[in-house]
Amino acid sequence: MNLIDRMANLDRRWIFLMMGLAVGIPIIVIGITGKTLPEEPTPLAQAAFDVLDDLEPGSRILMAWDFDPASEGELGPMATSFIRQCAQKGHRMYFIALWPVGAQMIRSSTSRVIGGYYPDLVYGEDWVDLGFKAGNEAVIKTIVTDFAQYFPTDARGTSVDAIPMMEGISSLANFDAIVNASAGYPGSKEWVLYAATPLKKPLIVGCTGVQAPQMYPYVPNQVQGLLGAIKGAAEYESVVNKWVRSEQMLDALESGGITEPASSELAARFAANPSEASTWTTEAAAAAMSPEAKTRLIELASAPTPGIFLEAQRRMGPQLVAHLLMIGLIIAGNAIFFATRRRGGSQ
Amino acid sequence: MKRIVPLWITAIVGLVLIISNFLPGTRSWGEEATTWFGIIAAVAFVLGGGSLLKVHLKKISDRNSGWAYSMIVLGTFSATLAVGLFKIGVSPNPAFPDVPWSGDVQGQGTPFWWVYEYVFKPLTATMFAMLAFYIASAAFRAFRAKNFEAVLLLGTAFIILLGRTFAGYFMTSWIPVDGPFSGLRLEELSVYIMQVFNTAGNRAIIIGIALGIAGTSLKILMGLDRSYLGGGD
Amino acid sequence: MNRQQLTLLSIVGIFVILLVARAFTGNGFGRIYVERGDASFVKVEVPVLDTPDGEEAEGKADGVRWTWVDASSDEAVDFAKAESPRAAWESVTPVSPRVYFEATIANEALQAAAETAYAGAMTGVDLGTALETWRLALLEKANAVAAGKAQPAVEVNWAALRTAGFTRKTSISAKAGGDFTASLDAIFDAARATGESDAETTFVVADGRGTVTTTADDVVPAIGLSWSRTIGLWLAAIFTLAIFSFLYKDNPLYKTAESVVVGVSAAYWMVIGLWDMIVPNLLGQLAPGFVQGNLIPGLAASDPNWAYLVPAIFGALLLMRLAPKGQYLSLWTLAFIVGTTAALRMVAYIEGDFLSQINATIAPLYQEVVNADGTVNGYSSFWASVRQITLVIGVLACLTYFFFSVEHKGAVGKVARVGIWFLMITFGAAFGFTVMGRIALLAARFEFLFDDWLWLIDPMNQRSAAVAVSCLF
Repeated sequence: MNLIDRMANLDRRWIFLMMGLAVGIPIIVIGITGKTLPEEPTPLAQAAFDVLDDLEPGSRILMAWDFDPASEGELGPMATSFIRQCAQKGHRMYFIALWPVGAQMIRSSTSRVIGGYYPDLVYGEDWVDLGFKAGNEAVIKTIVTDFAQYFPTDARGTSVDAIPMMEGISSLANFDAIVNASAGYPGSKEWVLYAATPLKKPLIVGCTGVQAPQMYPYVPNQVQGLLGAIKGAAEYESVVNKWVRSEQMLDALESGGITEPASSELAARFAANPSEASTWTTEAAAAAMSPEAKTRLIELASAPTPGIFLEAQRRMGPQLVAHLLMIGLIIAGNAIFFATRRRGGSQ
Repeated sequence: MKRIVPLWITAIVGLVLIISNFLPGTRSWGEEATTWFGIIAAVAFVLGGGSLLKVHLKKISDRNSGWAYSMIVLGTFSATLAVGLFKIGVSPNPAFPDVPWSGDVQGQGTPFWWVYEYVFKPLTATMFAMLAFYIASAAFRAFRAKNFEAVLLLGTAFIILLGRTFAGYFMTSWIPVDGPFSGLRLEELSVYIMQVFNTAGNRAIIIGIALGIAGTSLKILMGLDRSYLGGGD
Repeated sequence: MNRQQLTLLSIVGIFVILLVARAFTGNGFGRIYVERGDASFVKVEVPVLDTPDGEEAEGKADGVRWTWVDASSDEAVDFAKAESPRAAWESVTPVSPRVYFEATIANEALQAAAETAYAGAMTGVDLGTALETWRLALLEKANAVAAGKAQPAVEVNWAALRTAGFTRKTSISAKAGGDFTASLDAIFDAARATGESDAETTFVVADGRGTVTTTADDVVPAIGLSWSRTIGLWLAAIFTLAIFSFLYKDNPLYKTAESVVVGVSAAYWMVIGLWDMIVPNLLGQLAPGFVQGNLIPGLAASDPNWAYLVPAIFGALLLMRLAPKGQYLSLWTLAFIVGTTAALRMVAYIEGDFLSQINATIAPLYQEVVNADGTVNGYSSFWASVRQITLVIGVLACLTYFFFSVEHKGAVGKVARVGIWFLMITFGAAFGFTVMGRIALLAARFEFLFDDWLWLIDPMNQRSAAVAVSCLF
């Protein structure tokens, strides 16, 4: 047997091993070095951010978490960043799930983000977990006109009448936008068909790689922001991280007495290039600032982004190597195929 | 009788739901029907559990091959069901500590949560993660550039695979961003493919499927398509 | 032994050796720590202010209302009586291993510091200053022992000391230093002499904190290993590896894991369906009193809604499928399901897919892109128009390909062929995205193994970075 024959009959377990290493090694390397690859947002990820950013603080956002642990690898980071943007912006978040396990997804993402980084948000006033309801698109169809029909209580068993932020909510029409993290049916397509299209509500979709291509035709009329697969998550995550940092710096600047529009300009500048913050504090313009505010600003500039907000960007490392492996495998497979065919071989 | 009643149920519920879209006075009828649908969907979960029980009990009683695995299925099924249904180890709702059954069965720390976190979650997630291995094996064995169409398919896949990672950015970073050829940068190209070619293809598919679904639905509601009632009169 | 078995054996062998080596380096791996506390509640009568007119809620009468509150809340302090009903259970909060490690390091350092003789003198100062001096000295010594790995804390529980009769103003004249604990005792003895109570004062080290406190307020270590969760984590890791073992070949371990997932998920859905849907949405309508009294006390009170007997009957009919006789009755429910789905889809697909997608395609072929200053950007407009034209051509060509009523010959055949090209690009894109998704899922599983279980990497900073890296190399 020559090399080509041996390659053509390669035990597929070697390919499995290659795939395992292509994914495993970058995870270890990135885990130890802590470095991630840079991300440039594509228009759709930016649009997803802009929709939520353009709404006034305090807007009502329906967060529909329609996924399960099987797709958490792709959608978990999106869910994290969606919550982070809404929490930082001060939107009111209403979580629901159409997948039985979605209720657990709501719990894990809210406890990680709200519990860990926005502990000041009050349950029932700033966010509420309405839990899972069975019925797939029938749930959406019902709440488009009547919310309480399907959701008499929240996931913790409190009547919706007793939840302050549910006041004034009679149907989906009372919401300002819908954010959906979706792994299949029921999911983003159902939210487009039964809610976003008839109500003409802004809809932001974060979906798996399998669904993403089918969602593109709905942009921009029926879907305003689309995050496809882990790449979409990574782009959106980087936009949100940068913005949150600039917002926090803006707070520090304003608490130190720097006013608009100078504060916004500076915050944006420091967010793009954090090292500038420490040199700026020594300049004359910063003289008016209190020492505490200056220290806070420099702290913010040098503080690393918490690991949970870099999940998608970290995952782009194994993604890169595995994609190259896939391309290599397809090319190798074809090379072997054409080589054996030319010889009139086994094909 | 066996077939007439279901046909009428389908027709009536369908009619009510369609009318409720157009006549405001009938809207609440539609809401009731869709809420009932959700309740029946939840009952279907019970049916699923019941069927599983039936199949595996039969397998065990017949001593079919692999009946020991059926024992595992039944054992884990009953254990999960017991801790969930009876809310074992669940603390009451903090707002109502005197109502013992008011607790949250899915809350962190309950035995039911433990089953989810350490059994259900790793198992289902890993099952899906296995697909990465199989798609790699398929890439090596099945994707052949035999004709022009296949080359188009594979070429697009390559652009997407490269353009959606840092590799694409790295390979074509020498093309100026604001120059006339910036569209040829792989990350731009992948966006262009998705928003134009993929959108066109999928839009046609969506339009086709929508017509198909509307047609089938109409046939079902009018009783012309009775395949869901099963074969044989 | 053939080559295949040898390869497998060496891979498994290397893995096991690494695992054992990993277990004995640094802080080991695969453990979950929790902080245990008490959740205690008390039922109190709270005056109701501003009751809206005409509103008579449950338990509300004459301007007071009975409510359960957290035993440490202000309401509990103000309104709780000795005979008030109380309830308590253990609360468990997971903490990152870092918290546990730091507490352990700090515990050791504080203990070492507390057992070392204190060099300074504590005379002629009030209790507060003396304690502060001692606190700083203690911290300094503890920090030296911990070598900067963790910051121990020393707290003075003033509330407890006050109830024991000490005040900040208590003057003292302790004997000059020497033994630190002796000095401390001298301080407290002196303070007690002027105080009202002679409660025993102790220095307790727990959870990385040293606390000067009285017996009235014992500090019990709260942070520790959770056996149930640690066993769970190992089980999760074993199940993950069991599923992966199928890649080598089918085996009993995989089959077991597969059976477990079948059993668990069926039961899981049943439980969720019951508690999240059937109880609140069906029973809550048919027997609201029972549900409110026993299962969901937070549910708003209402009268039974007998219309919900219909879904209850349909549900029961559906379960007839399991019965030996009368299975045809389940078709009635099936008919309801099919009818609802068909009606919902017919309207939604026509509106949301068919009409909206055609609508989205019918846009001017010439797309004008305007610059910020209001002038037309010719270059961008050109490309935007090219995109729009390509899109329209693509949709029409693909639809032509799908149109099977006309034979694909001549011009139609050519257009259909263009449609195939578009579809091939579409499928290529779908393939690319599918690959991307699958790999992300695998990456997530590997992260679980490397991070949560093996503690090889620490992206979430759950364990101190120094610990994580040192145990790998």
